[in-house]
Amino acid sequence: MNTFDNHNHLGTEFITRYAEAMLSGKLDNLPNTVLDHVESCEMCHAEIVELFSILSQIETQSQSVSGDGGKSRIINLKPIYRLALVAAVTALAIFFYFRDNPNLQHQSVQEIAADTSSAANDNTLEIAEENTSQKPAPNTGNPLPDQENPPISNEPEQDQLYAANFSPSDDYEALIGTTVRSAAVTDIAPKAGSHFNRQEIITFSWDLEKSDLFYVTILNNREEIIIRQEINGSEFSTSKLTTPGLYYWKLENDAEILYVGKILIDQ
Amino acid sequence: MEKEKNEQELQWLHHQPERLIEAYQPVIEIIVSSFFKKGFFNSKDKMDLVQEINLQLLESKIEKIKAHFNNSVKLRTYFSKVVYNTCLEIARKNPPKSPDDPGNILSNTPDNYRNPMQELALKEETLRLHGCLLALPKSRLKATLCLKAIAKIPFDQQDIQFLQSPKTEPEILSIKENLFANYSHLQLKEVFGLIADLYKKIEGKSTEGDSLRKWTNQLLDRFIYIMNGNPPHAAYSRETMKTLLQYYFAEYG
Ligand SMILES: [Zn+2]
Repeated sequence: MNTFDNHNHLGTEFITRYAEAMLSGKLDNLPNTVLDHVESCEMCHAEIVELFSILSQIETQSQSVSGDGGKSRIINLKPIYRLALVAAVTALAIFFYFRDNPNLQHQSVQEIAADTSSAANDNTLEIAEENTSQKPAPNTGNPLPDQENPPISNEPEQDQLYAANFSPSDDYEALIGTTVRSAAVTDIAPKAGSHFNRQEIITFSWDLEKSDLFYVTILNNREEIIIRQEINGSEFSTSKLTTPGLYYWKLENDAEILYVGKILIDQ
Repeated sequence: MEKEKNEQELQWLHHQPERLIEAYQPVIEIIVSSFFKKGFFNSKDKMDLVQEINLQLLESKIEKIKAHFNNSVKLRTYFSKVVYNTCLEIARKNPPKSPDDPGNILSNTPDNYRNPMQELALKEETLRLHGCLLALPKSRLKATLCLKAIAKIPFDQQDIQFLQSPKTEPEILSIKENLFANYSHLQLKEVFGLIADLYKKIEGKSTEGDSLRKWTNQLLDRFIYIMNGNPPHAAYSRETMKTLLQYYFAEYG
């Protein structure tokens, strides 16, 4: 791959290598011509800074993102995307099928499509667990799903739905535990990340120097408001969180967010 | 561990690309969120955009990654760049109506109150500014001194430790005496004169305070260009940039 593209700027390889080297502190390993180019070129400099910032955020948040207990991630797709995704996955599977089985090219596209549609025969597309039945087959390269063991989870549908409820919101994860300097909130309960069961009455409490009118808002992992309550004291209880999942709660007054925490309702 | 993860992801790229895309959903969401935070796509739903990117990946971009990825970086890094470029293509079609005034998160008094969202935004801005400097290993030391000088931020031992030698002793002493504490009473001409004297000794060539100041302003303008983005999502000026520098040096030294 060339160091520079047709416009005499760094190509993708060196932009990515540069940003990765910044993160690992190994810029010295890059060729001098590349370092000199970035010193003199604000466009490549800008491109590298943007990627560096993204990679730093990914690195920072990767712990909370991977902290969903290794559960399968499920993407719930809106109907229009489901259709498009089914089409795309099917097309992709047909492509691989023909590419890797050139001697089968006489088989009709419809026949293959019927086979491959099992890859997208549900409203959700799941990352299968390690025990997935869909085996990587580097030699035959056949990614077609096995009809007898489709790569759709064998878990009950309800469990799949719940798994999606634990996927963290990166916006809220970044705010967990934050308190503002102007109004220090102390003695906050429950602790961020506490687990509860579905029948439990959960009490949220806090201590603030000056009493005020507060709002407690509880949101699910899709940032949809589940409860919003005006409070005059320093605690709030609810038994309404009966669906398993990850929930964020925030304490606000009229002017500002005072604290953001999270709790988990177990299955 | 990291290496094994990369190996696994490479296997997915070649044999189960849809699984790779699934595994990288958090990466896609972080990148999409970063665009939303900059004020792009306000009329869109975040998850709609994530799905739009999923589709583009499935339809064509994964094939391009397969064709061009050569293992010189982690697959995650390369994938992030592809997703970032995809977001940028969409963003360029819908630039923000008016770039954000960074004054919302910056103020002249570092103790001024900010809510957690603003704190987070400020943290991300200082991280980007850190990237601006980190990406210039050859001129970083000089840039740090000059940027502190232009924003009249006191120097510390760390700034000059690699420039100290018997040869530069008088110039270092002069900087310590004048620029290690508040020097807002000094003219920029005097401040840059002190730094120019030091570099004259180090580089053995004629360096004038004025040309050093001009170089610093050019650097500041470049950082403004980078921080404002293309298409622009922020409206940093030299003054707001100097305020951001104060936060930056308070946090990163
Ligand atoms: Zn360039």
